[in-house]
Amino acid sequence: MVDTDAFESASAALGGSFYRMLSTVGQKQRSHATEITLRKDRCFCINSECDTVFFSKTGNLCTDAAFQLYRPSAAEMEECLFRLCDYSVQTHRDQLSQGYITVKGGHRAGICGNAVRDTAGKIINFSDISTIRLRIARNIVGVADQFKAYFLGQNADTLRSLLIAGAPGTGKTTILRDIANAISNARYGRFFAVSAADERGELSPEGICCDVIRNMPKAEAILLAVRNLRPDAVLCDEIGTTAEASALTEVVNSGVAVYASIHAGSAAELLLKPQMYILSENKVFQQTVLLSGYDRSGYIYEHINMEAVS
Amino acid sequence: MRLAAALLVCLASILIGFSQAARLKKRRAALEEFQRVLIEIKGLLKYENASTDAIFRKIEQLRLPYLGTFFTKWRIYSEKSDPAAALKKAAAELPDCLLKDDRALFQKLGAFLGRSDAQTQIELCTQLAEKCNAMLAEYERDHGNLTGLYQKLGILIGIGAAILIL
Repeated sequence: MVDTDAFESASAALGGSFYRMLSTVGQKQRSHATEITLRKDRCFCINSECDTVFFSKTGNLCTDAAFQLYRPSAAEMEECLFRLCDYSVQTHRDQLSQGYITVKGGHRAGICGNAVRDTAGKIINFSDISTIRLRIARNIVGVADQFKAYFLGQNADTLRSLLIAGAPGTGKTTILRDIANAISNARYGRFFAVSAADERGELSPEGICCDVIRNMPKAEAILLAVRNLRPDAVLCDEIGTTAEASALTEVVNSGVAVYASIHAGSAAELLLKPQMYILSENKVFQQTVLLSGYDRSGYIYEHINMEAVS
Repeated sequence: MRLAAALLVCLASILIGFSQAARLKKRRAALEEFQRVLIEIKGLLKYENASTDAIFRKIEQLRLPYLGTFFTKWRIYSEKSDPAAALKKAAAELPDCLLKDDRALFQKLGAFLGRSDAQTQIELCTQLAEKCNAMLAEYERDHGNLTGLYQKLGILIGIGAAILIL
């Protein structure tokens, strides 16, 4: 499961001196990197599943934070943020107010700093940026195959709704993206029309029969897709609200399959979520898997029998 | 020989007169084009929430005779750097007829383009358009008649010099 292009496009999005330093990183580090982090006046580092490596003042990588580390200045952080916005703050305003920016390639940069509020108390921006954490989105072809039995019916001519649960960084979005690409590109024999509610632009599926609704609240996008696009399946990354869960219930009741992900570290945590209560009450998902990570053989997961658990 | 010299002097004088007049007209046309660009930017921000790159591309499609090359260069330089920094490089493509104050308008546009939310940029564009309007009104008042004067002076001096030579 190696996608070094993702590292390249993510580091290019940071630009300037950060990109120059990141371009010296070796293949192994590139393939294992999960995030690139910049902390004002503290450090510039690459995070992977098992460790964190820092850039020294000379641009070399080191594992010991006691070294003379490269410490990004306030001006560099500001310039970096402006670059991540593609020099168009206006088009990223909504994302900025929620503390993130999605860049080309689906990589998501989390922003941390002083929240600026308008007169109504709504957060409109972040000033004095202290942290930028760029999460590398990987497009890995074939990861969906491992879960084929859960989202495809017999003979691969029907679809079954699947919920992918897992802690952050376990690969939920990567699997969802590949499922969308696989079924909309007829990887299993038949073309299915897929509508993706991609509010944050992270999913970015590229299948030829895939319709993507961006920048729209997921609950609204899901219903819009079912009303107007006649999909065979609807994709929803990170079900976060009960409104989204209710929208998915309507979708399933319209005869459309649903592929979604949700944050949860265990089956018990999953059941404690209010949105999960709506989903399990209405039997939205036929299958649920709980991811816990991945190794060389593929994803490590547990198939959950929701009826038995609840 | 004398006739040829008289003709040359006459032609040169007329040319200088007309080129001065054309320079003034060009400045006015460039400022009017800049106003058109500001209106376009405001529209793109208000109705499309367009990105800076999309704004540059739309401006290119306007095929502006005087400012077209400048905006194209600005877009190209902006692909790799901040629009404000790119503007410094692209400024060499601005028409020579523009005065220092006119160039300052472009610098102001570069200083805010893409740097804030759409509403703030629209307000700044409106302020800039008002300033540009005032400059055009000033031009009309001070230089409106100068164009014709330069042309007439060029012809008169040319003919006068030719007579003297002859």
